[in-house]
Amino acid sequence: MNGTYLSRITSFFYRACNSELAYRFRHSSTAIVAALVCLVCIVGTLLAPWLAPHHPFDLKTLDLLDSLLPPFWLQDGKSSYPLGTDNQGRDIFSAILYGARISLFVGVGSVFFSLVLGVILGLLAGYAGGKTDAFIMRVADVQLAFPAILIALLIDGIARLLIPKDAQEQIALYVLILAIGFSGWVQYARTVRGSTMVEKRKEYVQAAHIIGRHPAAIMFQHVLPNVIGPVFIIATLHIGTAVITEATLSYLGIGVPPTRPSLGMLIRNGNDFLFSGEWWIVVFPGLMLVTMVLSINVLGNWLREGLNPRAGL
Amino acid sequence: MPNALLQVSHLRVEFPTRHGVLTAVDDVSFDIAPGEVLGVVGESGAGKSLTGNAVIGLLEPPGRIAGGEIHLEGQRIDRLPLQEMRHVRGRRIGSVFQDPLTSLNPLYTIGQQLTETIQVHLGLSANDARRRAVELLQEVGIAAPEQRFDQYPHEFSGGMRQRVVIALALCANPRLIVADEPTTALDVSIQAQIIAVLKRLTREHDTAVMLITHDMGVIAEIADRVAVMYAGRIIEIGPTREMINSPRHPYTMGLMGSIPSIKEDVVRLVQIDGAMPRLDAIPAGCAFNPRCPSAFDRCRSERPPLIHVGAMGVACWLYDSSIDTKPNLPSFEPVRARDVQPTEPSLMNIEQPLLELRDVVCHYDVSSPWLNRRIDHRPRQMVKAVDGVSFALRRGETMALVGESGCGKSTVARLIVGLSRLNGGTIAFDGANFATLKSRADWAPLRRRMQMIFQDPYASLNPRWRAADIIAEPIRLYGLAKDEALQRRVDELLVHAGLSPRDGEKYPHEFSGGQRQRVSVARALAGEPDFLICDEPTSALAISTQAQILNLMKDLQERHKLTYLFISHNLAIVRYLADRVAVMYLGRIVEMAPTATLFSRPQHPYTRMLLDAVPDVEMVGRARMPVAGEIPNPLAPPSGCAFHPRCPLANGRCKTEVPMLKTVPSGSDAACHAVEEGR
Repeated sequence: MNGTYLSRITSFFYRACNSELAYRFRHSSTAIVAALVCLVCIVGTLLAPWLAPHHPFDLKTLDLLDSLLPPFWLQDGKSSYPLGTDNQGRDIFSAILYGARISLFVGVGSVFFSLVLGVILGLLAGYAGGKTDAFIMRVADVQLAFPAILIALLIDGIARLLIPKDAQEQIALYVLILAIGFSGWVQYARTVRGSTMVEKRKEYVQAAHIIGRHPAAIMFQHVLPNVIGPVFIIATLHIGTAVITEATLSYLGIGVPPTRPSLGMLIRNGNDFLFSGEWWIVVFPGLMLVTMVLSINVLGNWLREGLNPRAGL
Repeated sequence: MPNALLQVSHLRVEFPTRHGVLTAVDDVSFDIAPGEVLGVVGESGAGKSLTGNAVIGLLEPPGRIAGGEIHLEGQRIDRLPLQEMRHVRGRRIGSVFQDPLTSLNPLYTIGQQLTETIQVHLGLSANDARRRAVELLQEVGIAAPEQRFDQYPHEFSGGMRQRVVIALALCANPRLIVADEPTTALDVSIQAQIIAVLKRLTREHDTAVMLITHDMGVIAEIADRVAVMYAGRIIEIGPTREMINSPRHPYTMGLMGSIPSIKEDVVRLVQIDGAMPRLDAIPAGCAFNPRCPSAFDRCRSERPPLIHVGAMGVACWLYDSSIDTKPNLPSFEPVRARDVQPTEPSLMNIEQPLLELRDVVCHYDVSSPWLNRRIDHRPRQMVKAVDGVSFALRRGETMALVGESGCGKSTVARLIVGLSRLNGGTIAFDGANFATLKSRADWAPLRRRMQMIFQDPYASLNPRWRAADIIAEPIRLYGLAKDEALQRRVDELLVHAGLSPRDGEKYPHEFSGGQRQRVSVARALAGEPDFLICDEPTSALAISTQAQILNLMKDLQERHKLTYLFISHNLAIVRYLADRVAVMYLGRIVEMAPTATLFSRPQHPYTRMLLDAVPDVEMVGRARMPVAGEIPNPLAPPSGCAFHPRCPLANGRCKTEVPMLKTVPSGSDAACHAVEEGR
């Protein structure tokens, strides 16, 4: 059996490399650039502990004498702090690497959470129909009436009330993921519900029903693989939005704990120094955020076009 | 032909793809004389529609004309700029497409669409254009054209819409009409009407027609000459009568033998094995050589030109007189009933039917949502999809349910397999009444014995599953075999269905339509059922593939002692496969009889009408009985006998009293007052 699995995996990769999508990818410079930038961002954040010249959150290594240094190419700049330092002498470059790491973690985590929640609810609504469908979709409609950031604020606020103070530090990150995740499930549910309703009528689903498969088995084994494609495209685009939402929440001061600052938190901190001339504290984290989100969105948009058979090429 | 109206010579249509250039139409040449009807037949993908689109200059990019010339009345039109081509289209070439739903703009009244076309091409004043449009509507057989002039396309039925499309095509008096599958989307009785209209009008207007279709019956009835296309090439061209009576090319011979006939009892259809090659894998030499039983060396190396044999042109080396030693022509004759000893009908147990339906009723709720109903003060609307159907199926027999779309035949199938809910009556399978089966566990033993084969070979297989997994699904579920035994069983089923064990590794999209249907058959057989419901299993397939599947079903029935409920709108297929036939009309069975009796002595006027309406290969040049009317709106079915508005024999009683199924002297059961009274 192992042999066939191996051959199936190799044949999958063979087909993936020869697919229409791979072909279009190789012929689209936008996609290649966006993917490269994405890759650099992701690798950079994953390897932050090894790449960063300093550990920005280790208080023992900070030296106030090095505070508010400009980037290295300016006068007074030091090459050991390539993008300058903040008011506590933290290396901006290292802070960005660590901050982006947290931003991405929250972004990907919350997207994963809303994806799982949305896909399950959407499948259920589309497949069961009737009252189940009406209930789930009305809840979705009500939630859509509120801005996502408001929902996230609400959930975050409630969670802070419920969780004891001393535990907040540790799980603040997960509360944030939950809050952002909850605010985003609706579009997955809607997409999946729509395509589930189409697939449900197809004869292969009826055939499975006639054989006597359990409805849950039909939903997850037959319908799910056929509706999941567009979901991944939405998810890619959604990661960018989630990172922005996280940055917004952190900027407002209710996101990540100050001991583990994300990009949003860095921007918030840097904001105070904007008018006193230390622009680098806010501009570089901001640039990082823009680059990351932009490359993810460009890649997601390209994927959406590329996977659309009607796009024509 | 010096004064040909349309002259296509060495036409070549190509599609550039990243895997290389595909040649979809390859060196196609033909002429159409003024007023002549040329039929172009072929399986889907043979390039017939592309040829038609190339003629009217509507090839969809990236398709392009890569070679050859097209002349219309001596003027070369394949190189015309878009602007001038627009004038040729409509003014000199009209077109009729398959789907009357999408050929008309839903936002304009049909009057606007007609007058616009007339004004653009003929430059008439608004009033004259309107007069001409009304005339045309009258000509295509639309009653009260003045009133219907201002209606929108959705207010017309499918058949009426196709009449409007024909009127549109004719409105500038073009010399040529390109009609691409003009009757395929229509019901049999409507199809006959449209063919009649097309035939009459083109005669009257002396318009030539290039009729593209896969239906030899339609061709037989209307075309003067036929061109048979295969893998992008014309392989045979000649007068219709000769083509049908004595086809020359091995492919055409096989094709003719593989069409089930409504006039004749056939025991076994001719089967051309294999399928038409894909465009990226057209074999060298003659494209048909891998499937041809008489292929010899030359066929595999050199492409045959059109060789003239009498009035026919045949692209086959077997007719080349310069070759001395060549194989004999293949013999493609279906096995006819009169050629074989009639076998004793097997003893079928009537006392204990396998499946019994009694007064089965199924209603669909099609009403608008609750709030809309309140606001508009509308009651609930119910469609009686099945309205009191009773029949019993004996073990080992094949019963066919026939009828036009919307008659409820598919709903009966869905009720039997439990996909739709019963609103009344009882269904019992092998003595087990469905009403007593409450839970999934109760159903489980029945599920395994009852399977279904679906119409659409594309939608009936999960595109993300390998064929082997699809076939293994029921085996795994019922716990029939595991591991190695499972693998062996899947291989065995694949072989039974006419595939090879290696095909199990493939995904559905890697199969052709016919092969996909074979996978469906293998899946249906996996649980070793004794009853199979086949819902139009071949209506989406090409003719030669259809014969393969029908023959396969016959073989399997014999081998596995299966009972079939066969649902179809195609009476010829029913005659080939079924032992008994039930004809449905608007949710009721109007006639039920053994196949031989139904086809030799049809009783119900609807059955007679259906039998008359079927286009058949035998129809060459003959006129047909006109078929009146269309299927009524199922939301508001006529009172009494639902067929009375279309029935030539109807009287007052038919309008008020619903006829019951009664056995009539011929041995059939018919639900008709006229038959009962001997009117």
